[in-house]
Amino acid sequence: MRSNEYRVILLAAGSGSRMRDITNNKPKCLLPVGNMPLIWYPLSLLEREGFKEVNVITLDVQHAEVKKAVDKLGLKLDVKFHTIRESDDLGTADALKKVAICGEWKEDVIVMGCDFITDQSLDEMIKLHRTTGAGMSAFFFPSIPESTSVPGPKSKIRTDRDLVVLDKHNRLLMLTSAMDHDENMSVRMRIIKKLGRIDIKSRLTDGHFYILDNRVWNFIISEENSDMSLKGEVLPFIIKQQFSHLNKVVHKESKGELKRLSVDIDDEQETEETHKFFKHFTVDELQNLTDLYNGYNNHPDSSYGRYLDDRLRCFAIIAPSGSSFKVNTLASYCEVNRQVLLAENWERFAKSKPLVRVDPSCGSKTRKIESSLVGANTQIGEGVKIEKCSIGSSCIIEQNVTLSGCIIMDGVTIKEGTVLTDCLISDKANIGTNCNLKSCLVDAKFSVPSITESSSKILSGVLMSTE
Amino acid sequence: MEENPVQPLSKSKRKRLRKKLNKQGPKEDGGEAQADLEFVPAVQVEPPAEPCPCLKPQPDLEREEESPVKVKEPENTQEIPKTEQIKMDVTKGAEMSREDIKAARQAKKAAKKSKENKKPEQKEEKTIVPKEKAQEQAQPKPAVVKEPVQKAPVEKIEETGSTDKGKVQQKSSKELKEERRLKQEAQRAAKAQKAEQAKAPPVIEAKPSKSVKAVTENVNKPAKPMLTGLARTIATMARECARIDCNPDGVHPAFLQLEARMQSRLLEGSTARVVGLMRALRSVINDYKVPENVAITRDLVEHVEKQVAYLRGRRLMSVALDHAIKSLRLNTLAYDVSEQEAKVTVNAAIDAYINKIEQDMQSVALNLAHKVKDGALLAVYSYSCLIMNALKQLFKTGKRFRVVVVGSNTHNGGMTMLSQLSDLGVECTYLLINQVNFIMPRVQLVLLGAESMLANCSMVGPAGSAQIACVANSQGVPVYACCETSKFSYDSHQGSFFKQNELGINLLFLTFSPLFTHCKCAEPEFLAPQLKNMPYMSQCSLRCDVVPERFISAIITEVTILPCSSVPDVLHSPSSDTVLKSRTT
Repeated sequence: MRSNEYRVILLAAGSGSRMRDITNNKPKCLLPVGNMPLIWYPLSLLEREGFKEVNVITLDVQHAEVKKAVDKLGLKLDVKFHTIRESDDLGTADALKKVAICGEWKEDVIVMGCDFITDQSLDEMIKLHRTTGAGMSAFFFPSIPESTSVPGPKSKIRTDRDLVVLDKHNRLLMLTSAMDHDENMSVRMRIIKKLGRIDIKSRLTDGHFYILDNRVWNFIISEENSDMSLKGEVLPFIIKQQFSHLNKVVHKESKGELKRLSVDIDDEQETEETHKFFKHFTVDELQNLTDLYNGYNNHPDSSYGRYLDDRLRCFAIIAPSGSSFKVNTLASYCEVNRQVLLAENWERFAKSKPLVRVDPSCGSKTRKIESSLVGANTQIGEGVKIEKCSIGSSCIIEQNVTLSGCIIMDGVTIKEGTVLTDCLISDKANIGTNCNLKSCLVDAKFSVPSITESSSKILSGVLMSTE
Repeated sequence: MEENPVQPLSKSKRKRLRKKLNKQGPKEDGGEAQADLEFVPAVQVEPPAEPCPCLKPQPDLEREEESPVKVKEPENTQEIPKTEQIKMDVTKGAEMSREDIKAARQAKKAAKKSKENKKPEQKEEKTIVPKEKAQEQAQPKPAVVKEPVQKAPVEKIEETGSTDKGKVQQKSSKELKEERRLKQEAQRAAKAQKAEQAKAPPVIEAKPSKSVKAVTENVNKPAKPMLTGLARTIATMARECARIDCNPDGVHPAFLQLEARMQSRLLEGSTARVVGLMRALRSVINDYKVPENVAITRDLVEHVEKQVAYLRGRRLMSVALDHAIKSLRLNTLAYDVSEQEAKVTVNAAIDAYINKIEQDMQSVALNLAHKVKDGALLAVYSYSCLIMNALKQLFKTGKRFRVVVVGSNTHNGGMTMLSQLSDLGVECTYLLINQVNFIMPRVQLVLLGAESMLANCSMVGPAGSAQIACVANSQGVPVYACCETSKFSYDSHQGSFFKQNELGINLLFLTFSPLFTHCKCAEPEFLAPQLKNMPYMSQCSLRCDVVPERFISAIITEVTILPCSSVPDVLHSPSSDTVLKSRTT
């Protein structure tokens, strides 16, 4: 139903550079969250919102694996894969250009990351985009608290924070990374003058969910756009263009004397890029006329018209706390796994799919399993205690093992008598008898020798440093 | 013209009329104001006033309903709560859609049946079923409308007081909601059943009523008062506005956007909406591809009609929009026209209509110039691009005047007007509608921008217009409605305007979720938390207002300045726009 209105591009070629420890053997988009691959969440969201077609961008080396996993999900979506070469090391904007080669789109475009989990309705976001007539809408949600416990060494990894500047109507005025500003962040006086009041938020996470107007999309894929990264360069550029004097609505009668030009031109360097950008914004006479006659004004207290007479407007959609996750760090990965275990949260994020706590193929021996998920074909021995864990498929858990707060991926073997607390065990790892691990991260295919006692460590065959 | 209203206005006659009006203008205004000062708000229903001569050609049926129209006028309703009750009943009658009536009938049948099968165990259910029946019976029948004063209070006692009044009082809002929902379901089920049974007529009588009975029994188990009167009407409206069954399949994105902007009140004013519609239509036409083996004429009309039906389903269509679509004359496209030619033709028609809008606005400005004297103090309410444009033109031609901009909390149009006028350099005063009484004696002229003129000569304007007009009238200030003839409507909404009205946004009553500031405001969960706990409260915020004929001194149209009573003449005049004429056939 939406296919005539929006095209969707799902970015699944991310390497997961912020969570190397668990993504060096597995594509990020296939990491299990609540025993479903990560990519299932955005895909199922799109499916239940009535989308029919999705374009997924993957790396060529992971393509087969991802395709197999997606096919297995049994979604009704028509998933089209586009591959990019890993060796090219393309930015997101470049990757989008690759997709655009396949044909010209007249529709607006939704670009989302494969690591985006939300319980918000796309319908409402789209409606907001529509009503505001935004050139670009970006989705934000409150960041997860920094105190979230993470398996592995307690190194203070500074998370990359975004600085989001908004006005009272949630119009997006600036979007930069806090890393780019050592001490000072400067905001143009003109913005403040125009709006009177702006809010700078540092605790919002960018969901990497963007609704792009067709004109903006055409700019991004055009030759004129030389930037590589969508988030880092292209979007800040577009957001900045809102304050270009070329962005003004020019009404028929005032064509000769550009309205309030003198105010805007003083510090505006007319860069070539700005001109190139606004080439894609052809004058829409009827839209201007509609705006001219419209009685609605969201800035009634200023001398400007609605939306400050701007043609290009960017808006932020801000979701309530806890409603969305961006799984791009180890902390958020662990947090989302913890959240999904609660039945009510599962219902929020996975809506259509019923929660199967323990797969029926696991047998029914005496054991104690509380608020956990256990995948198919996992063997669980006698006297096993499992609490708040998610356990993948084809694992072997022997007698008298105690697990609490763990994330255990597929094919893991845990020998008898072992106690694991808040650990993350990657695929096909092997843990010996009577181990006691706390907040540890066990690498894929690594065998932990028997009677190991350890806490807050990365157990792996290779010496690795967290990037 | 007034002597012989049935005959259409010729051009020369119109000219004469204009001269006459110009001469008599002030005198006439004074006279009318005098007449209105004599009007004392009273409890009793006024006898139907002598129908204005131009209403004569209308069928008798409508005259019967004239008394409720009188009751509805703001002076009465403000002062006496009793009349409020009447109004509610009137609205009930008007608001009942055909489905509702059908459902009510079936409910009646169900009730009858339950009476017949009287069994002692069913006591509780039985006491309630007739209650619902009584209420529903009352609604669709015009009999109630005829003698509202006597009937209304009695009926109210019947509704709440029969057996379990105490119980009724204790109901929580949650239960209420639940019941409302169940009731809707019952109606829906009844409707579905009926549709199902439509093929086999003989079965209809027995089966549907049975099913309805089953459902109504469920409904009535908790035994609660039904939503009545105004609250019920508003609930119906909110439901219709937020209807999700309105299928967006195949609707062009431009129309989806238009609908979203209109629904969330980001596109205000009928002219702006018309232009917005034209813009959306242009994208529809430009993206249109004629299917194989289909005549373009028919398919294009169907395609556009589908888009428009979407707006209509959300009750967002108005006269001006209807006219705009008719003006494109899609059905007059030649049968063998090519796709390209058709697009060019329709685009040209769109341009022509936009031009016409602009010209009309200029003509209104010229006509208004006769009425605004140098140094005058004008009052305007909310935003009207027609008035804004006219004042701009006046100011540019060197006329000097001052403006009192009246705003309200629910429309921010007043602020828009204010900022645009003061940008021009016009001396302005801004005040809210509740203070309008104090400024009125100094004002020489009140200008109201009309969304539409109805065939019964009343004006539709932004909510609050009637109040301004009433105050102005009581103080002898002439009120001019500005309206193009393309907004003249054949409808004459006797009784109430609820059927056509749109829900507005009442900012006081809403909580703002940070994510969706403008969406969904009609839905109850967006009520402020303190209001959720008031089961007997239903919020009402309407977008439009009807100003009765006698408050308006004249209508300033692009053709001439007309007395209000001429609206039907313009509508029936052969010389008036052919677009208008095409509506009659």
